[in-house]
Amino acid sequence: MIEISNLTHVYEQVDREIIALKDLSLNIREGEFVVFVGRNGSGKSTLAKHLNGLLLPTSGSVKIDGFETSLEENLWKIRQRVGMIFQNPDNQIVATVVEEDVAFGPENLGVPREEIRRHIDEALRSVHMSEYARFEPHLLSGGQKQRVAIAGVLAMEPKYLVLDEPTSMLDPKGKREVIEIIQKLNKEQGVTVILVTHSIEESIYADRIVGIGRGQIVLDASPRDFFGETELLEGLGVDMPSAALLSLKLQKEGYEISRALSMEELADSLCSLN
Amino acid sequence: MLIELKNVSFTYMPDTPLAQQAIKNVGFSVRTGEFVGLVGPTGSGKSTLIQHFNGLLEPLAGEVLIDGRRIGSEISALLVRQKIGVVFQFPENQLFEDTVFKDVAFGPCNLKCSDEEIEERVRSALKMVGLDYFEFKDRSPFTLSGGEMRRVAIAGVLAMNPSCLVLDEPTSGLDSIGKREILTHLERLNKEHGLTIILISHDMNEIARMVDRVVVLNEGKIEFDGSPKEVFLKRDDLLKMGLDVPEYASLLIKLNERGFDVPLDLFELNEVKDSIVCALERRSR
Ligand SMILES: Nc1ncnc2c1ncn2[C@@H]1O[C@H](COP(=O)(O)OP(=O)(O)OP(=O)(O)O)[C@@H](O)[C@H]1O
Ligand SMILES: Nc1ncnc2c1ncn2[C@@H]1O[C@H](COP(=O)(O)OP(=O)(O)OP(=O)(O)O)[C@@H](O)[C@H]1O
Ligand SMILES: [Mg+2]
Ligand SMILES: [Mg+2]
Repeated sequence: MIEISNLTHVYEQVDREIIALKDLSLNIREGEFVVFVGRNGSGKSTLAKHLNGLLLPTSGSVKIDGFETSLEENLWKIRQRVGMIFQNPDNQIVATVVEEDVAFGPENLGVPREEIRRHIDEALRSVHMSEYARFEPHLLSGGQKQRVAIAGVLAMEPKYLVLDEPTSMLDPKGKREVIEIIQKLNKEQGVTVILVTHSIEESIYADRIVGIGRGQIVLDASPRDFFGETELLEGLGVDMPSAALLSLKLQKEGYEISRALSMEELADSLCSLN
Repeated sequence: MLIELKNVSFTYMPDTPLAQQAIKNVGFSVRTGEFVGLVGPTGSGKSTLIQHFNGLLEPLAGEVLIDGRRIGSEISALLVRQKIGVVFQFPENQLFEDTVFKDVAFGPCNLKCSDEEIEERVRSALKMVGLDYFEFKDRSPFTLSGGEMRRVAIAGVLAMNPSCLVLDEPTSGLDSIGKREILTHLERLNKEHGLTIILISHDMNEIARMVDRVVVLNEGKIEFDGSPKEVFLKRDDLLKMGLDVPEYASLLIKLNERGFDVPLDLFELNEVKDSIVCALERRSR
C-alpha cells in the first residue's frame, strides 16, 4: 500500500519557490494499475519521484508499506520494493555496457549472481534487446535506450513499478508491447503499476486515472468515468479518446451506441446495431 | 530543390566489431515548401539520417546537397545550420545556457541581431510553444519538467527563423494542448510562410493530419515514399515493420472486415463519421 498524505513539494530556487505539489493525498492499493495524467509541469514526475524517496516531502508524508520515505533507515526497504523508470532514459544509464546496466538494479538489491544472469536475459528478451547486450547504451537510438531502461527495472522484479512516460519514444509496436508487459505483470503477478503518460490510448487500460493539475488532484476515477467528465478534462488538458469523440458524433446523428473508449469497442457496438 | 541526398550510406564505428550500418544507399530530396513526415521503427535510422541534413554527420558514401551545393566543399556547415534548424530527439542535448532566455536567444545572438530584435524573437518563440515569458525567462532549463524542456528546445530553433525546420519527435512528452498548439503553429509556418518542414514522429495520427508526404524508413532504407493515403494503405507492411496506421483508419479496416462498405483511407473525424453514417444507412436499406 502506498499512502500519500497532505504532500507538499516546494523546489527552492535562488530567486523563487516553485510549489510543484500542494497538499496532495492519495492511496494506491496493492495490485492496482494507476495512471497519472496532466499538463506539462503539473507535478506528475515530482509525485513519481516521491514514491521511491528520490524526493522528500517539504511537508506531509509518503509511506510505502508503512515505511515513511523521510526516514533515512527506510530507504533501502523502499527501493527494494519500488522500481522506477525516469522520463529521460539518458538519466537512467549507469553502465557502459547494456547488460551491466540492466544488472545494476538486481546487483544492488543483493540478488545472487546465478539468478542475476537469468533476470538480465529474461528482461532483455522481453524488450527485444538481447542482441544489443554487449552494446554501449549511450550509442543506442532513442527507442532502444527506452527499451533498455525498461529491461533494467523489470530485472529488479519490484513489487511497485513506477514508470514515467516509458513509451514516449517507442514505435507503435514497441508501445503496444510495453503496455502488454505491464498489464501482464499487473494481472498475473500482482505487481502494482503507476504509469505516467500523455497517451490516452495507454490510460484506458488502468483501473484508475488520476488527473493532476497544478500540483493537486483534479479528478480520480475509473477510465470510463474519467472520460465522462468532459469539462474537467478540458481544464486538465487531456483529450478524449478518439473512439469516444467518434461515438459522441454518431450519437448526435441519432445512433444508439454507448461511448466507446477503444476502437475495438466502437467496432463491436457498430456491428451490433443491425 | 532544397535538400538532396544521393546514394547516402552511413556506418557508425566503421572497421570495428561494433560497426552498424545505419543508412543504406538512401536517395531522396525535399523540395522547398514541402511538409514531409519521416517515420520508421525504433533504430531504423531516422535520427541518423536527419543529422546529414545539416552536416552534423558526413556520409560515408554518397553526397548531401543543399540548394544544389555540397555541404563542406560548396556551402559551409555553419551556413547550412542557419538555414536548417534541427530540434533533436533529446531536448537536454540542445540546452546549455543557465537561463531559458539565454538558451532561446542563442541563435539570434549568433546571427548578430540587435538586442531589441533578440528580445522580440525570444518572446514570440516562447509564446509559440506556450510558455509564459515572465514565468520562464529566468529559469534554468535544467530544472524544468520534461515537457517544458522540450518546449524550450523547440523555441530555440524557432527563434533562428530558419527556412527549413527538422523536428525529431518534437511532440513526445508534450501534453495534448501543447501538441495541438505547436502542430498548428508548424502548419501555419508551412502554409503561410512557406517553411519547409521535416517531422519525425511515431504518432501516425499526427503524421496523417499534418504532412503532404510520408517517407518510411526501415533498416536504413527507404521503404515507401508517398502521400499519407498511399502509404497508410500498406497496412500489413507497416505492421510487420512495427509501425501502424492512424487510429481511425484502423477502425475503418475493422469495420470493413466485418462487412461495412467504408473507404479505408480516411483519417479525419468528420470524414470518418460521414463514411460510417453512409455505410450504416446503406445497410439498413
Ligand atoms: N529540479 C527542479 N527545480 C525546480 N523546479 C522544478 C524542478 N523539477 C521540476 N520543477 C518544476 O516543478 C513543476 C512540476 O514539474 P514536474 O516535472 O513534476 O512536471 P510533470 O507533470 O512531470 O510535467 P511533464 O509532463 O512536462 O513531464 C514544474 O513547474 C517544473 O518547472
Ligand atoms: N552514436 C552511435 N554509435 C553507434 N551506433 C549508433 C549511434 N547512434 C545510433 N546508432 C545505431 O544506429 C541505428 C540507427 O539509430 P537511429 O538513432 O538513427 O534510429 P532512429 O530511427 O532514430 O530510432 P528511434 O525511433 O529509436 O529514435 C541503431 O541501430 C542504433 O543502435
Ligand atoms: Mg514529467
Ligand atoms: Mg531517433
